[in-house]
Amino acid sequence: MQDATKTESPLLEMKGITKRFKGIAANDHIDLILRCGEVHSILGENGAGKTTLMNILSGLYQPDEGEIFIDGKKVTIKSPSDAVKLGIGMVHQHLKLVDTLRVWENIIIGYEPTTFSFIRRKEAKTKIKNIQQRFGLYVDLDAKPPSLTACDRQKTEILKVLYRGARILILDEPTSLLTPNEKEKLIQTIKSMTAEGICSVPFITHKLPDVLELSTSLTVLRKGRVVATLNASEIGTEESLAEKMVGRPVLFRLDKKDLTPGNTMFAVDGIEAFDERGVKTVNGVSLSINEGEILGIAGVSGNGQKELANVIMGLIKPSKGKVIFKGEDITRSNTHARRDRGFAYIPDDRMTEGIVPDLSIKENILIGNHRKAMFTNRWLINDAAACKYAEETIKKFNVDTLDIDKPVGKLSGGNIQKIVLARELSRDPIFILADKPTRGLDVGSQEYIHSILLKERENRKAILLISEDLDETMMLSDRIAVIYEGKIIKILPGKGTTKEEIGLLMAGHCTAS
Amino acid sequence: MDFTPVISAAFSILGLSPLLVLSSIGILIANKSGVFNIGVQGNIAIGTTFGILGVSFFGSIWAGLALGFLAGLAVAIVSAYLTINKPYDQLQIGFGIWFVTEGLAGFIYFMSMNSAFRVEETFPSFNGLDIIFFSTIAITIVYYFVIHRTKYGLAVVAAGENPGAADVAGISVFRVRWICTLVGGSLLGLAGSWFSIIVLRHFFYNMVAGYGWLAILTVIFAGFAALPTFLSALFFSFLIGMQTRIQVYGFLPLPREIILVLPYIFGVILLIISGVLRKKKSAPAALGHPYERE
Repeated sequence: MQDATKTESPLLEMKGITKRFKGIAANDHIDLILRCGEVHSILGENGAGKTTLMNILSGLYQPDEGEIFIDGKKVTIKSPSDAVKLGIGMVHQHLKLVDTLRVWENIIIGYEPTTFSFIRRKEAKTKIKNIQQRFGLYVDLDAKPPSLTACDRQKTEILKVLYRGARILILDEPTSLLTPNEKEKLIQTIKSMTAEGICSVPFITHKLPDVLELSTSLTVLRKGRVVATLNASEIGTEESLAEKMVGRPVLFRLDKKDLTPGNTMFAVDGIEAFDERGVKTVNGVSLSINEGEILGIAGVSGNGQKELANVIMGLIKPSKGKVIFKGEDITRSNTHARRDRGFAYIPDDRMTEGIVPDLSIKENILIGNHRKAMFTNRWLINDAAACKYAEETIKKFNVDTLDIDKPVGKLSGGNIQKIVLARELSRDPIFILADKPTRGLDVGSQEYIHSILLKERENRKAILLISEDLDETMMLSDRIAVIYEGKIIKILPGKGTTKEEIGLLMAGHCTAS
Repeated sequence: MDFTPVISAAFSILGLSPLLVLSSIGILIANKSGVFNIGVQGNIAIGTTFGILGVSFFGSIWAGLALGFLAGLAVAIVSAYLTINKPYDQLQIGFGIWFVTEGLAGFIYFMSMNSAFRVEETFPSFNGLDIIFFSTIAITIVYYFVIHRTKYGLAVVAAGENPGAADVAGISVFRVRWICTLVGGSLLGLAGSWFSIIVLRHFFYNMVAGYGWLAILTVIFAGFAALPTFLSALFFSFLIGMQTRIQVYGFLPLPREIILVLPYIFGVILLIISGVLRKKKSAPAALGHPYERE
């Protein structure tokens, strides 16, 4: 392979980058090469060091060791503005937009055209419009970020980086918040931007299908080290990439035993509910779930899933309809009473509803179980019993630490979710509500959580799975209910249903039947 | 019925307003950048002390104003260091600043002066409104244009709403917050010195009463926007003016103590009503949160 581009010095070269946090290496002698017009995926599990590496490149962190070269020249990047001067821009995973400023203000911030410090508005807008036309990134410039879709917010961030003249456009998990449709559009945009060689993209992700679709080369990181550097022809399959990321073969299709579902455990009948803005988002949902069955709810986010979950857990009261558990009407009972009956809840937002980030592992495992006799001696919490219980539980659920006094917020996403599962499932529930249980998790953690849910199914638990990930829903569920605008529009068998069929229903296309 | 007291009350709206306008705008500037100072009461108190001291030592009310301004600046330097450089809890620091400075205000005064000193001079004025009143209008307008039209305004708003966004845009959140705290604190000192020099004309202990708190309330009531803050400050000054008139002329057959707290009660009620009616959150999203890179 001796084509012209490869003999020139690459656009970007990072050599031996090392960064330690409190003595632990987040990046351990990482080498990375990015050539002009490439989409270079940086792949790895949660906590593998992908974001740290890119934060070093964009000037937010200083490396402890290592060198960075741009166009073959050695550079030091001391701050984000140094990075901008070198043509490096980063679109962060947690978007950095100011909600009270308009889109165009967000784009120019820090790099405004001014006369005596006053912003030349027209000039700024014209410049942005030119970039929009050139790259086909259309967003309403006078809107404010909260009124935009996730995709438009993502585009605003990209515009911001392009406005500053970036040649190296770092994208950190850009697709994680997008619907499948929006994702497709974004991928097209990235493709056309790089095809002309204007931009080169380091692309951080743990979503393997995106990698296969976009990458022209890739680096796999594991525990802060490079485990593989591949070019387009060597990328291979999802399975081989997953194995490199996790360090062992990953099962994308878990073994699901044939079970005959038992009696109806849980049902909702004609539920209607309103969201916090007062909009009716659940509009007559009826479902029933049997022992030893996983019922999957498929649908695009925001079609009433969140409110339905809240109604089921007793967090909000339905305006109409009944919640029935083992034949008994429990619509009026509160969350605590439901948990006592054997409800377990894996909420979709683990950082705000699943755990208390500043509390320790032990305390987080105790929450909700703290009233149990075994943890209290009359008035106080029995610390010895709590410690023992926490230690046993985290061992059973393979949490990646032994320190039960560590704040949960310091753990990786996968481990945090394991703590949530550990707390919820160690109570031996009979009904499990899992709302997007693998959202934002890497393949290894996903596999683990899927296997746990299937095990609970074999233990004759009734499981309601809410997910946006169709592959997940289809693999785990015995039956799939498709939700659209607050209504269950169809319930399909898990076996023999195609992805396309569900996809159409999710978009609201009711088949005449 | 004699309407003279009503008319003179109407004038007293504008007469007293510089205290509230200057302090509210001062608070607003710091708040916009994400720094919350609950101890403004103390900043103003220090301003009152140095205002009178300045007049008595240098024999000029302009010197009094200047000294009050510098005293406010000095307090702001301390609070900026503690809340921006050190990520201490801004509420705790604010209360600390309040206790220390309000006590210090009286202590410094009585240590430096033996006799009661009275200010006789006045600022150039027009129809009973002095030059400081007109400056408050100018300051409000300048504030509005800086925040909404200049790059510095964008930087301040970003630092207060999403400091992470400001940081990646190459804006030093640190510097922005320091500058806003210093400017805001200086205005508080200025407000205090003007109040002691022009309105009360001599120093007595705890002379700021609850005006600092009222200024905090004004900013929240006005939804952290410039023009509403200016107008609300005028409105609350009007309430205070009415309160004095009611006392003097006995419009309402109520005990003096109740009349004294009326403006505050009225203010709190208004705040609750506006809080209930307001749909959107108006406070800067990062108000009161120290910024640290992760």
